[in-house]
Amino acid sequence: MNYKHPPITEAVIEIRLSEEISDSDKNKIWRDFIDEYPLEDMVIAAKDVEIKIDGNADNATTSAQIEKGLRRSSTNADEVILLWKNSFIVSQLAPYPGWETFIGRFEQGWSIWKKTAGYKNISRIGIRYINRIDIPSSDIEQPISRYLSIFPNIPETLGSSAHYAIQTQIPLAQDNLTLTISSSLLPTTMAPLLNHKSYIMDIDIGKETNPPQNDKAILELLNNIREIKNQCFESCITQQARDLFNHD
Amino acid sequence: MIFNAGSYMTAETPQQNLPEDDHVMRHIAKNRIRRDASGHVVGINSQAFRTRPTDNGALSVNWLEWFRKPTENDNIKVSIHVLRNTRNIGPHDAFGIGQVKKIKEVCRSRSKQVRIVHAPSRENPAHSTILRLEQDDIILQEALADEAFCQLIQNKDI
Amino acid sequence: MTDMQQLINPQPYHSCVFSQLTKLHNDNVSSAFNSTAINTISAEQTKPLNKNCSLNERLYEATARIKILIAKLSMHMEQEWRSNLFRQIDFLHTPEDWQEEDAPANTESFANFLKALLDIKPHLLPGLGLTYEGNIIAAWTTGKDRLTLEFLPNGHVQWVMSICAENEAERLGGKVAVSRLRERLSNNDLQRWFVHDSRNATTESA
Repeated sequence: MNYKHPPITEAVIEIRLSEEISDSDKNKIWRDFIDEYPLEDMVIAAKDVEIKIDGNADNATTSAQIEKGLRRSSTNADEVILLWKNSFIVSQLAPYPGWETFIGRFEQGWSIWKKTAGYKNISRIGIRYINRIDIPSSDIEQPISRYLSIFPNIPETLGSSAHYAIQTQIPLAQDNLTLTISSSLLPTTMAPLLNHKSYIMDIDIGKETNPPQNDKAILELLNNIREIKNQCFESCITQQARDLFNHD
Repeated sequence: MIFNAGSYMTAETPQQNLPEDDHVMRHIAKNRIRRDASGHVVGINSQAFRTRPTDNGALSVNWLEWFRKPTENDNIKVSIHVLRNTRNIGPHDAFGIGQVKKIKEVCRSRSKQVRIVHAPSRENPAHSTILRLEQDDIILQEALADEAFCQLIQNKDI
Repeated sequence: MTDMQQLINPQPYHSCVFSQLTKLHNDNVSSAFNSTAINTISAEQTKPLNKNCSLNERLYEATARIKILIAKLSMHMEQEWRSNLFRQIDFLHTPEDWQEEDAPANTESFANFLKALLDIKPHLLPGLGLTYEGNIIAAWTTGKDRLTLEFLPNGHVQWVMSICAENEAERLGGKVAVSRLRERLSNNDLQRWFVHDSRNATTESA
């Protein structure tokens, strides 16, 4: 369903590899993206974090491997690519321009990536959409079920949640996919709008079992995943929520 | 660079009050210039008259008549020239000009008795300061921006 | 940051090198399961900019943070607003006329500005400025009348207005929580500021 004001705050396509690319290839690919993504940045992640506690928690030691990733973004900072040694990520922040544009950007980026990296075994293909549904104050007192069909079931005697976070993982028979849905209510202090309640609907669908290795099959899978993602999103919201995304 | 009030003077040097009819000029950084949403310059924002903690409550200005040029315009030009040599003046910055008498009058209307004194430095012999301004008085800062420093000259125009 | 916070506010898979190292696992920590890495830098936005970076890097990083804040709320604003805010923030952060002692725009201050803007929904966007501490200044000018809002990072707004009546300026000012700003300004004829175009403008454009 196409909305006038889609609630998507971030859409991501990730190709994860079972092997790493070299630093020189990573740097070359990074440079190849300079025209489309002129703003550059470096990012850091800690891998394999270990915490060792030997009897006394005060003596706990931590260790982690540090990996540097490279990030490029468009002048408006809303179109992003992220390069790690073992993954290629294309991200779109709001405003979401639609699937055709987004997948087109992925295709273009993936072909640039492959030109230098060559064939690498793919271990996972995933799509993730993070939606934020902002409900105005006039409706704040309405039960959440008016807008969402996924939420924690809290006994009435306990009152209503100030904030919550739930997550569920569902294996999907089609294509051997795994669907992960995270739903949460932001605390008022973190809500970006005044007099609104903001709900996060984070939908992630990935394929780890025998992911396709050729471009045609990858694109076919991504298109399938996108259909499933849409069905999932639509089944997690109500008509009242849809109306919020179509206001003038 | 931020001028220290009276950096060129010893503690014992009496600070000369500026004549009431004379004028002072303040450098207005680009981000304190008042613009509308289209980028048109419409004045000075009050925050341009807020001192930094390092200013010790003294607001830096330049005494225009110190230069004793034949015309007011010449005084303005030479003052801007001096400021360009002593401060980081960007292409979109500007200079606000106010009369000493008017500045004091505006401050008195907020029950503030300010002093405007000559505080020359080696690099800027016309440097002066407005003393006894309170950093938290937003209404006084607004009055200075809106009423006292009523002439605004853009750096790119000189 | 607690697990609960990570879950409700999806965390960055990466963090800017200019910021501190994020304590993240290789795979997505916002999820208990193996899932697609995300790209937001929400957690980093509240961290102070690294002063050891070059001026250009600091200004770039501050601009990117602000643009991401705007992007996250773009579904609530017209494209024209978004472009205008982008243009204004680019102009404020131009390196060539940056004052060394100034701080780039504070993201919390800008987030408060966006909250107020989307709550008030003025017909006219304000002209933006920055205090030397990096607080956002929003200015509306209608003839000789002026409304200036300074958005503090702590959720408050310092406001001051000048209204010219019978050739005399009347000035009011104060501090109010951003959540009460619209109500506070409503006492002073909200429409006066937000529907008329500015006059007496000179020709320079940002």
